[in-house]
Amino acid sequence: MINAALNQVARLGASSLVFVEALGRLAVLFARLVLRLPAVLRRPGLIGSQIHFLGNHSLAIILVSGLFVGLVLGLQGYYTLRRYGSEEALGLLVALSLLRELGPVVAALLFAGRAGTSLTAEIGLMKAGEQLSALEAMAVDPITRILGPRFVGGLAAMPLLAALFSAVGVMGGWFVAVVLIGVDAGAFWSQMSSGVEFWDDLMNGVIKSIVFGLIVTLVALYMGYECRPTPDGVARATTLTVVAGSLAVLGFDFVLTALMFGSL
Amino acid sequence: MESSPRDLLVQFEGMGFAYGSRAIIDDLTLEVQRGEVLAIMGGSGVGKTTLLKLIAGLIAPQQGGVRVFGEPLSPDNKKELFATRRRMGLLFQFGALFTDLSCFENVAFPLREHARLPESMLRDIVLLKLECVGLRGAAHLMPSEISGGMARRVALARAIALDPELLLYDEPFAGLDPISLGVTARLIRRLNDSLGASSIIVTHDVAESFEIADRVAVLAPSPAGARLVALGTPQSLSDSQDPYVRQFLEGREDGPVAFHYPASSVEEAFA
Repeated sequence: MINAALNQVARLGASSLVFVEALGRLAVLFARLVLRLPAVLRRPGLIGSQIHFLGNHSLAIILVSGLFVGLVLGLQGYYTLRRYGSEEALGLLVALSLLRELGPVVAALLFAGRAGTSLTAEIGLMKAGEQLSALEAMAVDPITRILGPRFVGGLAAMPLLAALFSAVGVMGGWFVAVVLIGVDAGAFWSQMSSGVEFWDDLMNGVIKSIVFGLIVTLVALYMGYECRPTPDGVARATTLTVVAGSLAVLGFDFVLTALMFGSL
Repeated sequence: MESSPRDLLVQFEGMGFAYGSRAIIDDLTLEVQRGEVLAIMGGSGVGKTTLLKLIAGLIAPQQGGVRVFGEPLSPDNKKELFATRRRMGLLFQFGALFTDLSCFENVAFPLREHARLPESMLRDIVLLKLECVGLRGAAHLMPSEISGGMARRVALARAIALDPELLLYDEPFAGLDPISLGVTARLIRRLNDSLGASSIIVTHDVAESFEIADRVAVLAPSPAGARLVALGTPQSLSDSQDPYVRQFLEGREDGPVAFHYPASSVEEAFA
């Protein structure tokens, strides 16, 4: 009985150790990526193709999701605001929700599912096919040549995707409010433009999206680079990218929100 | 063959290697001379591939040392290690081609990374290397569109793209049909002689390697890690009376390597 309980404790300890070790390896990979940044930036062509690959392939899902989130925000916001007779504030509500929160967060979650998984699977399969070892044997550093451009590409693509998400979302909110419900268009836009602050709202959202882009891309690369080079291992790593990446985004979102808007 | 120190491309000096607590190679002393084709043979899992990784500096030995091109390998000095690796070509068991690049781009890859060449010269070199392996016509194909034997030849063209002085082959004959097998074997010999390089082949294919190798080294498993049990010309090995060598060359079922994996006695297990 006591033994069983102790075993549980031991197992808990063991899994915490595994987790802490993984965090350490993640930090080491991050440090190595940062150290090789100058060498990576010397090959803008490789980075460009990664921005194109990661950004372009996520574009459709980001735009469609942004539009629907905006539509729903318009409907739900109208329901609440009408009680207080302030339907004109709908534009402000939609814009603030998207810029501060939903744009960066939802775009990052979608980015993890769409681009993160493909990064993990690609790197994992390269490892399984000995392509990373082949690079090493050819005196080419896989971190500089393969991981680096993807890291910078993800970092650059994420804020752009979040911005597009928010922009399309605002259009969705406008469509519901102005076209469907009949809220005054002038009030909708003027409330928005006077209520949204450049630094407090817009730039904080941009900072969030940069941080999330870093987290998702780093986690995806780490999972691929450290996975067991078997079909089973790559499958597990791909799943973990979505799970760990999404949880990390949500956790960091809370911390960042508390830091940015906590004093309000 | 004359052997002044500068003609020794690879030297293992009393080298031992272990993965964690599992001993792989025990006290190996072996030299590879310029111009020769050396076949390293032994059963599966005896640590042959590990030897290649040690030469390429992908892993480091715990005891003794490895000298490549007369210089000791220093795994901590990445710059020096990469400079050494640029002078060798490593062929992986299944080719390890980059699946997102065409055959042409695969062969061009090391040239693009390490040499600043005008595009026209690069094209000539790549096509020349592909011609060496008989696959100039397949330059535009993707790795998924060619057979396993062809993929290995493209990988070979990639390995010789920078005219290496030392060529390392990991199981170049595994899983090939008889025609590809003969083609690959003669290709290895011909490339070695035309490049003036040394080649180390890790394999367990007796007939092909005896045909093309100058010397053959046989590794046998032991509890302390694999040991070198025989080294010599194919002829001298054929005459060897060492029981492990005999069992290996003749493919006998029982000998120093038992047919049965160690287990409890049959009577006990089926009682």
